[in-house]
Amino acid sequence: MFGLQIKKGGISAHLGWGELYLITVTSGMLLFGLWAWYDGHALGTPQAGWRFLLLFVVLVTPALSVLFFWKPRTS
Amino acid sequence: MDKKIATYIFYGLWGVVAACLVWLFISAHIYALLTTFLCVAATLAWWGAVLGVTPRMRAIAMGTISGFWTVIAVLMFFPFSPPDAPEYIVGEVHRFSEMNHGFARAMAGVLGPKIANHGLVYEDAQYNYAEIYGMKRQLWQNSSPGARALFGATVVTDMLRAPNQIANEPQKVLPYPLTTFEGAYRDHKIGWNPGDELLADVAKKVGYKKARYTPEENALMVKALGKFFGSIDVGICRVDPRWFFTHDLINAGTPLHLEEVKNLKYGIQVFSEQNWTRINNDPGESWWSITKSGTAYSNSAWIAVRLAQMLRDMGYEARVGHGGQDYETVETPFSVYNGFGEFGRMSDAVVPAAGGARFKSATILTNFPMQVDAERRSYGVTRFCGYCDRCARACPVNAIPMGGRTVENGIEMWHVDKDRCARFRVGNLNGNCCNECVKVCPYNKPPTLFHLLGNYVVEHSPIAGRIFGSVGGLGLEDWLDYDNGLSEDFGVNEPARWILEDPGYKNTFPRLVGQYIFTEADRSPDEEWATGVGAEMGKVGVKYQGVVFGEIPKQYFDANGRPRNVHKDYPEGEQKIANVENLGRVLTQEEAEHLLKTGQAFTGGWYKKDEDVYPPRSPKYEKGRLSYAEASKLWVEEE
Ligand code: SF4
Ligand code: SF4
Repeated sequence: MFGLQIKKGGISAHLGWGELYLITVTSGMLLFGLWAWYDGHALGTPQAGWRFLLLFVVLVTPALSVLFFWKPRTS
Repeated sequence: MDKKIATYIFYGLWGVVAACLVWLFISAHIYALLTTFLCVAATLAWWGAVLGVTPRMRAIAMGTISGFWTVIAVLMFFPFSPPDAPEYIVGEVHRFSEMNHGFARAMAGVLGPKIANHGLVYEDAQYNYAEIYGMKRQLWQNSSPGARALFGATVVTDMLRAPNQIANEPQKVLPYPLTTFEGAYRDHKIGWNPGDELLADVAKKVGYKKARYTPEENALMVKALGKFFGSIDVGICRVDPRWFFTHDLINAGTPLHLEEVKNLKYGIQVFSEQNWTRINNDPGESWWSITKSGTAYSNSAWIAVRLAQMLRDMGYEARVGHGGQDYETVETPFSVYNGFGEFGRMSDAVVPAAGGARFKSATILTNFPMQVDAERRSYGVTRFCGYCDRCARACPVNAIPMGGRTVENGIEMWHVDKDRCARFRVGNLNGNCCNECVKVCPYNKPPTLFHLLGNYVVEHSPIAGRIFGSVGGLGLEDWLDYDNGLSEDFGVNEPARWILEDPGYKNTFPRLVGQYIFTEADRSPDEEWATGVGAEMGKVGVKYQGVVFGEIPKQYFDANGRPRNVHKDYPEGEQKIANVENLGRVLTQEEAEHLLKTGQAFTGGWYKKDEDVYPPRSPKYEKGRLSYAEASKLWVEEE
C-alpha cells in the first residue's frame, strides 16, 4: 500500500496515504493562516492578522484531534 | 473512568455540537462557526482518547475531514465562472445635471442656507473663503492648509484642462509655454516623438517598429504613458452621451449641448489612490478626510492634464474632467463600462485594481482614435455587495441603503441618499468631510498577493460571499475587522454631528441660482431631518467595528437641548451663521417660466418631466431603453 516509511535510529513510523493527505491539508491550512498573519502585520492591521491565524488554528482542531487522539487500540 | 460515564459525556458533547450547529444555522455568525469547530474537536478528542477507535474508524475520520476541506478548497479556489457583468440599465436614462449632485445642491442653497454657508462655522474668515456665484462663501474644502493646497493646486491645474472653452469652461486658460500647439484642429498631426517610435513596452507587445497610429497602438501608447505619468492603470472606453452633464456647475447652470461635444468619442480614465494607512486611521473627525481626498483628486488631475496636453499637442481634442474642480461627465460609469469596476452598495464604482473604494479618477474625453478595452466582465463586486452591508452600517447618517438594489433614472443599483451624505460631508462639525463608507469597504486592502487572491476568490467562488459577508453570511470580514488597524489612538469616535437648519425651515422654490432654476421637484426629501427632527446625531452609544460612539459633550447643545452648529475646534463660531441669507433669488412661477422659455435660464434633473427640462432632452438618447453598447455605438457613429 502507498505510504511513507520512516526509519531513523530508534524511530520508526509508517504514514498511510490517508494520514499524509490529512497532514498536508492541515499544515497547508496552518501555513495559510501564517501567511494571513504576516500579511495583516505587513499592512499595519495586526488584529486582522492575529484573528486570521486564530481562525485557521480553530478550523484545523478537528483534524488535530483525529491525528493525535485517534490511536487505534484494536484492529 | 467508568465506561458508562465516559459514554454519557460523549453523548453530551455531541449534544453540544448539535446545539452549536443549530446556533450556526440560525445566526450564521462567525462565533457560532468557531465554537462548532472547537466542540467537534473536543468531542473527537474524547472519542479517540477515552472511548477508543479502530483503524477503520480512524481511516474514515481522516478521509471525511480531508474530503471536507478538499471540497471547501475547490469551492473557494476553483476558477468557477464569475457572474455575468451586471446590466445596470433597465429603463429610460436621462442625463444628469451637475447642479443636482450632492455638493452642488449644498453649495447652491437647495439644502438650506446654513449648509450653503457651511464654512462659517469656522473662524478664520479672512483666509477661508471662496467666491461662488459672486458671493464670498466659506468652504469646507478650504478649511485646512493641506486641503487648501491640494484643491487650490487642482484649480490651477484646471486652467490646463482644455485649450478651447466649451460652455465657457475652463475659465482663464493659460497658454502652455513649451507647446508647439497652434489650435484645436491643427491640420498636421505630429507623432509621439520625432522618430515616431513606439515606447519600449508597447513595442514589445506589437513589435519594434515605427508607429502607424492604428487604434490598437494608440490605446497601448496611451495606457503606457498614463501609467508612466503615475496612474495605477488606464481604462479606455467609448463615451455614452448620457454621461455628459446637462448643466455645468462652475458656471451655475450653463447648458452643455450634445452637439458641442460630439467629437468626444472616447474616454481615457486614470486612477490614483487614497493612502491605505491614512484611510484606515481616519476616524472621520479630523481634517484628514478632506485632505486625503484632495491628494488623490489632485494626483489624478495632474496625470490627466499632462496626458491630455500631449494629445492636444498631437492635434487632437482632449478635455479633462477632474475632481476638486470640475467634471463634464458623470465619472463613475467610466470606471464601470471601461471594465475596471462595478457599482457597489455605496453607489460608487468599486475598482478592485485601484484600491477598491479608495481611488479617485480623472477622465480625458478625446477624439484620438483608440481601441477600447476588452468587453467588460464581472469581478463579483455587485454580487458581493448583496452579502455585505458594512458601508451602510458605518454611514453616520444612514445614507446608504440596506437591502436590495432599486431603480432610479432607469438604473438598477444601490442609490445613496445624496442629500444626507452631502449635508454631513459639508457640515461635519467633528471634522471635515467623511470617510466612513470608504474606510470599511473590504475591497480597500492594498494589492498584496494575499489580497489579490482574496479578490480572485470573491470573483469566482460561489460561497465566498456567504463566508465573508454578514448579510446571510458568517461575517468573517466584520470579525477580521481590517479597518481597525493601527488606529487605536483614533479608536473612539465622537458621534456624528452636522450643521442643522433652523427649526421649521422649509426652502422656497422656484429659486434662481446663476442661470439655473431649482424648482419644487428639486426639494430635498430630507428637509425635516436637516432641521434636527429624527436626526439622532449618528450612532450615539453604538459600538461598531471596535469604534465606540460616545456622548456628545454638553457644550454643543443649546438651552433647549438642540445641537448647536458649533465646530469642535471653533466653539465661538456659531453666531456667524445665524440668519444667513440663502443663495439665489426666489422667483414667482411666472417669472421662472418666462426665463426658461426665453432661454435666459435653464433647469434639469433626471426626475423631472420632459416638458419641465430646459434645454429639452435628446430624443435619440434619452427616450426608451438603450443599453450602454447601443448608446455608445450610436455616439461613435454620430457625424
Ligand atoms: S459614510 Fe459618509 S461619505 Fe459615505 S455615504 Fe455616509 S455620509 Fe456619505
Ligand atoms: S462595504 Fe461592502 S457593501 Fe459597501 S461597497 Fe464595499 S463591498 Fe459593497
